Amino acid sequence: MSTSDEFEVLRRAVGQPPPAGVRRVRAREQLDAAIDAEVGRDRPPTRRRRGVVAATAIAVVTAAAVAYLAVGSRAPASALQALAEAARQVDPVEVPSGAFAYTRSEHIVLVGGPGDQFPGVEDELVAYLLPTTRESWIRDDGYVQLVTDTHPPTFFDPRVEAAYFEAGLDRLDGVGETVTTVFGEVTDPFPGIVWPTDRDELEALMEELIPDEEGQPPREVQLLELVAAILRERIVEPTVRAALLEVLATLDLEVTSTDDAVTVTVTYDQAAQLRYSVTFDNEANLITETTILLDASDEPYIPAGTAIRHSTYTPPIIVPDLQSPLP
Amino acid sequence: MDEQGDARIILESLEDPARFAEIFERHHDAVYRYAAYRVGTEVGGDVAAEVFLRAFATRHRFRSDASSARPWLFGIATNLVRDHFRKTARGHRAVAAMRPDPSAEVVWFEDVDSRVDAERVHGQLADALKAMRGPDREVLFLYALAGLTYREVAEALEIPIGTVQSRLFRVRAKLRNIQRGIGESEGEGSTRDNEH
Repeated sequence: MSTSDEFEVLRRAVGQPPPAGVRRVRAREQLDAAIDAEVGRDRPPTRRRRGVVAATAIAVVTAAAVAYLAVGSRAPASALQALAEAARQVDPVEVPSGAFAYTRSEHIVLVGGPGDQFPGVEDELVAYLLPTTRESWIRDDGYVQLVTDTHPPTFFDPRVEAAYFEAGLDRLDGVGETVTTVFGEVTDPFPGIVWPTDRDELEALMEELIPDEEGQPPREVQLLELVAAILRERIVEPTVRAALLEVLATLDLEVTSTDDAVTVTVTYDQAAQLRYSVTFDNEANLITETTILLDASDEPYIPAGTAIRHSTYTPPIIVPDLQSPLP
Repeated sequence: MDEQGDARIILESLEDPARFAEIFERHHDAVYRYAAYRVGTEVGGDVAAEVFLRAFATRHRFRSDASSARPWLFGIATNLVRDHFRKTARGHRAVAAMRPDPSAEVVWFEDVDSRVDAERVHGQLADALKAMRGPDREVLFLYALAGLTYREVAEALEIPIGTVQSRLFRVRAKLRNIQRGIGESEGEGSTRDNEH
């Protein structure tokens, strides 16, 4: 059949759901447990290294770059070890029932698409950066509230900027708007997983969660992305944070440090030269993530050195309700 | 993929239960995508997991003459989705759950295109889906999003293939109206070969 497909309107509207990722791993574990129960063998469920954690499934796009000036001086991986030891000394936080983890964060993401959505622009592909500010309240039972402010984009080309507003894409992006979103069901990207505090056990579990397939970023990158995904906007026990840093300390990563923070960076090639950095505060909380494109892109036009993803986070705090903290 | 082998694997799994993991590896992702379309990614993940647990527990009932496990698995998934809707009493609100996750950190590069279209059609599409009878909607999702053939949809829902065709005829007409409404010309959408 080669006629038009009316169902395409539905497919295009709903798009593709994100990869099953860790849900697949959990599903397989459940099935393995059922199989084991039937067989009557007393062995733990096997885990397959197949998961694609949603947050690590980020296949960052094309393009560009410039020199990135890391703050602070180059330090050995022992800076991570020292930070891990410091984190182990931090008192654990008890989260009262019904309380929320609150985080304020700022994000810049690369948005792009076909040029034909931009009147008068002849480029096949265009891109721009869209900044947002977000407050998140996350409760253990999966209740999540996000309050997101979307700010005016940054453009690389004045023609694209003009066309963007002419086409009304600012309204589509919700520029200038504050949107409150509530999820009543689980949004935990790692449902049911209890992170080990032993480095070797944690590393083994993390290895199972990253995809072992062609076309994926290098192992170091995936593990660093996974660490960020675990810590992002969540209350994570200090001993787990410490173990995460200990895992990173075993990897071939560039480590820089200041008095207040340690930054871990990896440069790699994933359709373009990329430089991914994650910064931790002195209690091993995630405070920034940045991905920089190291080669300029002609189409879509993106200047060299553009941070195509940049996020900053306040360390999560516990608040009793959705009205806290007061502005 | 050796679909013909599904029946053999399931038969062998009666003696060697571990063989059933192969069925999971073959079909989990497709079942998950279908469930995610219907009920969102979070619940969809749970539904997909439950599909394989139920399938494993009831594999002795699998028809050994079936060419593929897909209709059987998608039938279980559809029943679980129905149960979910009954429990939550929020059937067509799943349409909202199909929208891109607003909490996503990264906007996929292709998303401007899909977002523009989704923005155009979403209201009309949501209305059209809401207006559809439940059985029509199930056929639509199994055929258009899960990629089952007419015959497989019929097997999954345990209905005659003619019923599948008539339901899809109604659904197709409604979607065609939406396409016209947003000014898309005939032949613009992607094509799909299908065994009827």
